[in-house]
Order: sequence, then structure tokens, then C-alpha cells
Amino acid sequence: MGCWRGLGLVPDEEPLEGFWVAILKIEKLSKYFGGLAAIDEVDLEVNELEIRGIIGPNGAGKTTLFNVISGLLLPTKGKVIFKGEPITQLPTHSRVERGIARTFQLTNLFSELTVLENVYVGYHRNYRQGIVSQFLHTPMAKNEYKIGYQRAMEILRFMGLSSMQHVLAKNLPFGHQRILAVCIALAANPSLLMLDEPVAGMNPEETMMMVELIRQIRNQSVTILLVEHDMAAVMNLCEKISVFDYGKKIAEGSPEEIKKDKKVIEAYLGTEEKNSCNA
Amino acid sequence: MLSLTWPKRLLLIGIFLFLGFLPFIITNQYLVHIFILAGLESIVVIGFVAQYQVRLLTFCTATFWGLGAYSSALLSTQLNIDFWFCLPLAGIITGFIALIMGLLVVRAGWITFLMISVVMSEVFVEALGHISALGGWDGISRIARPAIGSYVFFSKASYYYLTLTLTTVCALIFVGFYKSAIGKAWRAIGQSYDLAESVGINIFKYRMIVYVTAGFTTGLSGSLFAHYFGFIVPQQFGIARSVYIPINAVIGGLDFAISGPVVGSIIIRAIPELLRIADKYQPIFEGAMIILCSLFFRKGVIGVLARLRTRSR
Repeated sequence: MGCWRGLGLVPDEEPLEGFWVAILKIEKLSKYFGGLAAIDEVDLEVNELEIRGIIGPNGAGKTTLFNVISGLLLPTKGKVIFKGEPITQLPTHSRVERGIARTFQLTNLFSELTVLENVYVGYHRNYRQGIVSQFLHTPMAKNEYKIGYQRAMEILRFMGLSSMQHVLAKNLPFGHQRILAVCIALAANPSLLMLDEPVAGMNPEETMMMVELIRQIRNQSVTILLVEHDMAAVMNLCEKISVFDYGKKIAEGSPEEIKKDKKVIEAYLGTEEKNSCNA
Repeated sequence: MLSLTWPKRLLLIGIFLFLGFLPFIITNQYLVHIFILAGLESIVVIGFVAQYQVRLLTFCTATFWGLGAYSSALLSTQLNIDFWFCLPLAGIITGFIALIMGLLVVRAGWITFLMISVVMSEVFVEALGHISALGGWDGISRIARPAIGSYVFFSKASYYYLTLTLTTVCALIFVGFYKSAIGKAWRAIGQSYDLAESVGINIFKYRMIVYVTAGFTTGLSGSLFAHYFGFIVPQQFGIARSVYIPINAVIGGLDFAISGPVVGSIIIRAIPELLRIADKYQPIFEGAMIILCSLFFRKGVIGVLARLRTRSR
């Protein structure tokens, strides 16, 4: 689905405007908390099948942006467009139905459920049977239930957690908990996966493993948008990076361009005047 | 539908045999009466625990119990409707009121929800007391006992079986939910609200399912309660009763959706009676149990039993 050109829907020469090559489009998005702008007039376009990184100093508004895209917060102004359809005012569960899944910065799991059940709950949006049918355990509902578990097992196998399927989520080691959080998001069959600091707190080995997993997920035709502080991981993983500071997007480009960008260096290291003040 | 291990199945069968032959085992009529009360109460507690699972903390369970009791009693005494129609009608009326109330309050934050439920239980009693058409403070008396043809459920043993049947039915309704994807969604909501929302669970919808189902079963239990005693007064369904319902749930174990409420209700009702201290010391006993539970066994009595079993293995 990712490549319109490949499907022959669009002649190769023609520009692709008008099609939702940009799977996610954000227009002049602002979110104020009281008088404070957590995000200020941000435009952002994420193309299909790219791995996009969002970086910035603490308090730059990255997590707020995630919350607005996933629907936990409603924006003050602006638009969020997903696959060409405005979703700005939709509740979270309808956004999940359209294919947006996310993970949280702090590890957020169903801690009293087993690993398999956690992923199975993530599959929830794929259910088509009504309440009555599920309540009566009709053959159709049972079948869906079975498919859900099979799909959950597939995801666990894909992410390398299948040997721990019966462990309670709260008893998993930290690195595996982070991976499980991604599994839960994946179970919803998203076309856009948003990861909030996926490698935070991991040791270098775990980080390498997670980076590799994220690449593999993208290869399953899932677009990835991630916030991360670990520069090495971001530079290694992302094709394009957007840099935020004080709620504004200050730069965008490939990792090489970002490394050289003056504004970015300023944002991270401070300007010379600021430095002298601090000293 | 029920995939259980063999020891668990045997245990369940044993419990059912015991409960099934209880009137023959226990000849003390007063104890049978206690078990009837415990059975009716455990239906209410099952509803409370289900609401607690989706983090709807409510203090008006007795209000819905009263709604069931009053609607059944009024239908029976005013319109001379047969008990066997009053029972389901009481459930449906209570469920319908729960639906309307739910649409208004389920979206609220938990503290607002809690406070509204407290207000509701107060308003309910006052309103009933002041409307003389509904019996006023004197309540409704001479509610007929259920009957099939010429057979009237008059003895304690026969009413016990009626209660046992209804409790089983209500428990099975909730088991049906808990074993399906709906039950998984309930547990997910209880454990992490944000994450449940972000995997696409429509939290409002699932909370409404719990709220209305709990209303329905509580109404059924209220109907049986009214026809058992033959008279009801508003004060029986006040805030005091609503506060005691959660105690049963906590003592049984809040994580155990069916066994917890049943065991909790039996303990709370039966033990003070067995020790012959009920009239004076019932509140003290309940308070002591709550303190013991919150200090030493957070998961309730069933939690302790489950832990003993895993330790012995």
C-alpha cells in the first residue's frame, strides 16, 4: 500500500500531490496550557514508510505533540490529518481504528495480565463481533478470539518474547517490558506507530536490539514516528529528523544535516551569551 | 467455555453440592435465612466488584437494590402482577434507570462519580419517604410470596433454592462477560486507563455495559428481597447499606469477581450469627475484618487461599 508508483496508480513522471503520500500531516498545530504554548504553530509531514525522529531539549513539546496526535489531548488550534482525513476532534479509540497506535514514555503495561494477554488486549480494535455475540460466546466470537490469540502469538514471536508468554507483565525485566509495550501497540495493526522514547533507560545492547526491531517493524510496512533522547540511536535509525525547541519546529532534515545545523547546536548547547551567563 | 483445571473443577462441584443440599445439612432455619440474605447480597456485591473492575467506585448499590425491590413490590401490590413477571420487570426497570443515569454520570471523573452516587442514595431514600403514593416512610407491606400454581415458596428451604438459582444465573451472566473479550477489556481499563484508551478500547461503552448489567442483576436481587420479607421501607436502602456492600467485596477479595463477593457475603452474614454476637457486635466485627484485610491480606480471603495453594505446590 505504501508505494503508489509501484502499484501503477500514478504515472512515474507525475508529482504525487493530492495523494496521501504524507500519511500524517499537521497544520499550524498549537496547544496552550493556560498561557503557555507547549506547541506553537507546528507544521509537520510524515511520509509513508519512513522512520521519523523527533528530538529536542526537555520541555520542547514532543510528548505534548504525541498526545495531541493520539487524541489524549485536544489541540487549541490547528489540524491533524491522517491518510487525507482530518482527525483533529476524534476520540482516541476512533484514531486507533484508523490505524494510529502509540507507546508511552513511562512503561505503561497491563501489569497484572500475562504477556500474551497484554498483546491480546492490544488486538482489541480488530473485533467485529457485537457485545451480544461475544457475551453468548457464539462460534464467530470464539473464532475471533482464537484469531486474536494467534495474532498475539505471531507478534510475540516476531519481537522475540514468545518464550515469556505466560509471565505476568510486572515480572518482566525492564528491557522486555519496553518491547512488550511496542508489541501491544503493534497488535492493533497500525499503519502509523508512535514510539515515545523507546530506548530510554536501556543499556547499549538492549538499545541495539530495539533499533533493529524498529527497523523490522518498518519493513512490515508500518510508518514510524519516534521521540528519543538517545542521539546515537536516533542518528542510526531515522531517515529524517525534526528538531523542536520551545514548542516550535526549528529544523528538519537528514541526520547529517541536523548534526551541522546551527540552530540545533544552539538549542542543545545554548548560544555563547547564554553560556557566559551560566558561567 | 469454562476451561478449568481438574482440582478447580472438583472444588467447584463440591461447593455446588454443599450449597445444593444446604437445607438438608443445616436444619437450623435461622441459618438458612442467613444464607438467603448472603445470597441476595452477593448478587449486589458481584455487581459492585464488576464496577470496581472498570474503576467505577460507586456508593449507591443499595439504591439500585431498592429500585428493584420497590418496582417489584409496587407492580405486585398495586397492579396485582404475578411474581414471575415482577422479577424480570424489576431487573429491566432498574437496568433502564441505570442506563439513563449512566449516560449522565459514567463520563464523569471518579471523584465526581463517587459523590453523585452518594447524593443519589440519599435522594432516593428521601424521595421515597416523602411520596405517599409509593408508601412513604411506612413503606410497602403485604408483598406476596412467589408461587407456582398452588405451591407457595413459603418455607425457608424453598426460598433458599430460589435465591441459589438467581445467584447462579446472575453469576453466570458476569462469568459470560469475564470470559469473553469484553471481560479482557474491563480488566485492561482497570489496570491502565491511558493504555486501554490508546489500544482502541471505547472506555465509555465498556463502563456502560458494566453499569447497566450491574443495575439489571441488582434489580433482580432487590425483587427477590422484597418478596422474601413481604414488606420494605425506604431506610433499608440508604447509604448505610451501600457502604456495607464494599466491605463484603474487600473481605472476599476485590480481584476475584465471583468467588470473592459470594465468600465475603457469607462470612459477613454467617460468622457473627454463628458466634451469637450478631445483634450487638456486627459493626465491630465488620470493622475488625476490614482492618485485618487492609493490614494483612490485601487480596481478601480468597487471595489468602490462592496463595496457600501456590505455596503448598
